Amino acid sequence: MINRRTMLKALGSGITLTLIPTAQILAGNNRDTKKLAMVIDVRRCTGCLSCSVACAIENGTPKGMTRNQVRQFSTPQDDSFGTMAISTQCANCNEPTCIEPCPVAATAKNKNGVVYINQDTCIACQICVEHCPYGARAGDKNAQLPPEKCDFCIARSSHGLLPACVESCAGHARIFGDLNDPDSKIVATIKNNQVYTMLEAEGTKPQIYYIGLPETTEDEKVLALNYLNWQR
Amino acid sequence: MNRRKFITNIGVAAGTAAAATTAKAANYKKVKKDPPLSSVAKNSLTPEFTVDEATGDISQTPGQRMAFQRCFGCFDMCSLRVRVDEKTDKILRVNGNPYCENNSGDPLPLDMPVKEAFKSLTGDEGHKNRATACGRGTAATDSVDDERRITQVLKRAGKRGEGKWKTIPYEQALNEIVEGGNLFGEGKVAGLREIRQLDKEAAPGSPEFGSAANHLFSTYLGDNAPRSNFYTRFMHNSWGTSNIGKKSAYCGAQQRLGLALAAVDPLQGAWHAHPDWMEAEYAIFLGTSPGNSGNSLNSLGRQLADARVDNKLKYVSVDPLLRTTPSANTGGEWVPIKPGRDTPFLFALMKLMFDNDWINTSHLSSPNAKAAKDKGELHHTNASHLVITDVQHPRNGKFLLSSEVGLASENPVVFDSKTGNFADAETVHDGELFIDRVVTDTNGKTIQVKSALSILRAEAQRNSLATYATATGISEKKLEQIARDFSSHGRRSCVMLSTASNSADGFVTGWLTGLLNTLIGSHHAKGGAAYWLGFHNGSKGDRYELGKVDGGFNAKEIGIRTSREGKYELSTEYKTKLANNEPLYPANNPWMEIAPVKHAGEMLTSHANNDPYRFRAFFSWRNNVVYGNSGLSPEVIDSLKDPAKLGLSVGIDCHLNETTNLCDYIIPDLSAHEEYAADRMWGSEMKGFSAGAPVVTPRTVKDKQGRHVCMERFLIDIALMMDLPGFGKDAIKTKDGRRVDLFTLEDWSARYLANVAYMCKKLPPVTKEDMVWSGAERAMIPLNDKLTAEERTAVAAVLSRGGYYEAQPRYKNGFLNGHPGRCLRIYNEAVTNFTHAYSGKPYPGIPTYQPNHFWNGDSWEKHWSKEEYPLLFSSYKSALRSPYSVAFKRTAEFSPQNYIYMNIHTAKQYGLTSGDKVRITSPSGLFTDGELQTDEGVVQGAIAVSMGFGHNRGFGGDDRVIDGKVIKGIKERATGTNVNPMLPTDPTRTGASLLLDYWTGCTARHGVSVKVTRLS
Repeated sequence: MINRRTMLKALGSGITLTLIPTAQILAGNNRDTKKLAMVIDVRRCTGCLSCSVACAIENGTPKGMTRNQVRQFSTPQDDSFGTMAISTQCANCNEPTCIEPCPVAATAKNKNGVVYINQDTCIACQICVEHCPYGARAGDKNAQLPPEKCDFCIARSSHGLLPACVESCAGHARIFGDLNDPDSKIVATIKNNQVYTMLEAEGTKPQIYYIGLPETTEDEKVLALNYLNWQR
Repeated sequence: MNRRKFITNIGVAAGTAAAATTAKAANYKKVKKDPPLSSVAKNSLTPEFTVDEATGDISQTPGQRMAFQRCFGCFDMCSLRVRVDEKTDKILRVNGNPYCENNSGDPLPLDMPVKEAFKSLTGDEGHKNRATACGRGTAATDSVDDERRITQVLKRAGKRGEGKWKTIPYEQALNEIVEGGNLFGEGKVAGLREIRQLDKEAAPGSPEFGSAANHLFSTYLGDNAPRSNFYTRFMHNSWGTSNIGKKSAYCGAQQRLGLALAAVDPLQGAWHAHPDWMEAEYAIFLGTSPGNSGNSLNSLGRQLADARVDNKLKYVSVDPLLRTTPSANTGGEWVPIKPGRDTPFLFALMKLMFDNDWINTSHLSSPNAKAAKDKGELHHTNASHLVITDVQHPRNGKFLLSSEVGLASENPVVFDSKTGNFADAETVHDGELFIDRVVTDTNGKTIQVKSALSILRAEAQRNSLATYATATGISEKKLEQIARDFSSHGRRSCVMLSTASNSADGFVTGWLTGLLNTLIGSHHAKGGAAYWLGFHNGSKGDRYELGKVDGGFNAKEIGIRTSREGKYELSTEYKTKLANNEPLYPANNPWMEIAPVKHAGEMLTSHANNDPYRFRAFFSWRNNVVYGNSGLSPEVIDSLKDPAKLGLSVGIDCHLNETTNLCDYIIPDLSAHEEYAADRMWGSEMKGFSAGAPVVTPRTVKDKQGRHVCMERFLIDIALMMDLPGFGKDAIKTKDGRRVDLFTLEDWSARYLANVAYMCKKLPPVTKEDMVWSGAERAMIPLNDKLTAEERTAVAAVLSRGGYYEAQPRYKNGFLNGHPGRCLRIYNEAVTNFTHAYSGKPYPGIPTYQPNHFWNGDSWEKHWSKEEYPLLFSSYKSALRSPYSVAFKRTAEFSPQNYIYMNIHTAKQYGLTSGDKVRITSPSGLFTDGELQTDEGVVQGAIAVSMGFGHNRGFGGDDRVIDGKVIKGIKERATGTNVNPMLPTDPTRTGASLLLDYWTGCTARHGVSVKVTRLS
């Protein structure tokens, strides 16, 4: 597929992130349903890993099949170096590529926009894992367990509670809510900031929006980082 | 279709799926109805509450309860709200307490009902009221039910340290430990009863070391106040040993003792500064990175995030390693510095500030409290006070007194800026800051004097900027920029440090940070250097006399510790040398009167050297000195292992760790979630404490009477068996003249909590609903019959909010509220009363620059070849790990190993590449191995390695045999590099030795020379 990214690559240009216009995010406002989404302000992340740990405990994820990673790296800054801490997880895309390939329709998008896995019907084939351009579904290499992915802590959010990563975020970097609710904090935050998504050109319309990412962030490289290598 | 059929159909193994499709067919629409939560959130926890969407009201999930507890994921001691499953009595997950400042930068008022507080955490509102537990605390969720936790009483079944154990009844262990006997088939072992010989000297002929009761050496965790106070009541007051050691001295006490000297005299406390985040404009984080450690990662994280996004705070992290928080795209900057060179960095700033007059002269020149008050200042300073700098004068180094120059008081003297004449410092508005001249005393004799600030300036200017730049590896230009920035924001600037800058001059480093903050008038100023307001210590409360033992001992009676934290000039050694006309200095060993911080590592070093004596018994309660104290001599480990050198050792702990592994008996103890707590919080600006009660039933074995075994149970039983004072019937006096018993954990904890509750100025009202929602109702059950009705209400109020957090206006007259005005000390005269036991010279009244040196004054470089050991070493604490947290599964999962971080160019220079397996070797020949990782984020010519890894002898990382059954080590617990055993000793001391801070004797570990070689 020729998209903007591959064109830029072909032209040898630096790949920069694309600003997502607020109007586009908030289009189709419908008060009858929810459109759940998350904002992550990377400037506020201090790398404490509370989100990763809280998520793993709340969702009982098997060791190594984390739904939530904080990818950290050093980067040139002025005459020295700075760091970035970028949290990544399933973005519960509006147009996900992981659903269609499921041979048993165990994964789908619910009425609130959450892409879930029905673990009772999942056959652990891991095919969906390969179909996520973000690598956001953690597969079981033994193909015994259903993949793990962020579903915005569906049990919590269905009961009016914040997802574990959001309520645990010491730096208040994470904001979760309903894009269809004009009075919500997430809508206000998106309106008041420039927001970006990862791999925008994949066209999946991810529902995790980033604030504070430098435009020069190479999202493919970020997503390829081993999140366990940063122990500082 | 089932999975087997599907795989058969496609004929390939899973994971070789077709190429990614870009089809946007809304295939998901084929699912008509959302499946139930039980299918999609199958392994997730049931939420603790449900929120009524229409009303916003919350209800508690049946089968779950909430409780408050103090966090122990690290030593910052925040507060937790804990979800517990009623049926299994297991903790599901923990998060922060919304009433506690350490968990929320903006805590809820204590008088808000508990249900309301929990409600405010839900829905959209929940964002603003977030009360968090950082990754360390959250991971500690599973500390209670860890698979390698010790819950039975163990006795070694092989050689000491061999890892073979058998379970025995508690009563058997108790009896054997007290009465001794041929306990291991290795010959007779003296029991406690035999060891406690009050009528004999511990070190015959040296009475300063007290009685032979001091042959019991014990270590403890000083951070849990109710339990630590109980432990010291037993050890100090009841048993009568002075040898109780803790971690402060090998953690970073030297810096905090040094910093305090900018405001108080020695022995008057230890201080720890942080920026007043709300209003700070500039901050220097030295040897640390904001939000990384040293204070609550929760409140720091939020404060840092706010500061970054508001773009108000500019900050530099001056650290050998680029860590997480100087985030790109914000006002942060990383300035790499060579390890162990923090002192020359601070002197460089000071020199530049003096050279360029970048100091707050108005603040500094206020010589007395009234003058300061007239200017709207909180503090005055002794910058203008005159010091006698005349080596012939009997009071050389002391402040010139008014009476010495014919003025009618004993106050210090200044030159009055207005008149130009000298005057009583208490009588003038501004003193001249820079004085170097002679005055004539009442006898007509001239005396050379200098103002305190002149002395400091001379020391800062003694070296060139180029010298400091070379020492630190920071360019002169950068040093100048930092000094300019630091002093260009009025008082809204601060320098702070954490424990990752402990070199042989950590004391000086800390002291300098205090003085730099004084030079810009930043102490307690709005936007300046902030300090915690302190907590309530229950042993000082007056409902129950917990700190006193009738018929027991006080500190003076029990002699000095083997770490020699006393005055050398009062020692038998000194007196003998004096009588024999021998040279008085150097002393045979370091004597560090200025830092009575209970240095466990130095006590063990004395034990290994059998000087002044060997211990006969060792108790290790919730402390891991063998792992934690860097650079313990191999002889120390040998002396702990060898029953001929140490007859009896008892570990009281949840875990076999590097220390308790070397014990004869293990008494299982309570985990952090099973204990009572009322503890100080690092980083809290509100006065108060985080408190809690057991949130689940202790997992430890019960004694014959059905009571859970724990440290308190064990020590009470020893006291009762040996008839020690202070325990048992009528052991505790009450304020109203009654006496109450001390037979159980609850007897103590109830009274401790009553004492702290009565110290709180404004406890919230507590309703029945609060009691239920907070778990206080359950928590009070074991305590109720120990307390009066009024006390019950007070304790319940504390437990219903998980502690006490005193709200008050943040500022008063431009300064942080609640702090008394002081005389800030540019020159600390009281320090000059101390004498260094090697040199025989008095300590200087100001910090002085001397490159890192050993106990005898030799430079490190004299003994450690730069050619052979070309790299400088530093260590730090990573964001997720604490020294004991490897046993928390999620810690090990998200922080599986550490790395030996090296600058990529340095690595190239030594032919090393990222991923190499390498060995770090110190000049003592000790080494440790690990994996190299290289990038640009490490200062050149150095390595940085985090603590908390490489537990190959503890926490279940190693094999153990219990009752003949082999329990295999969990390999992910042993991963990574443990740097402490590699760190060098002091070659200028004799026998086993520790590398020390020259001035305080605390352990030094940064900036030592090492080499790194590739393992083939």
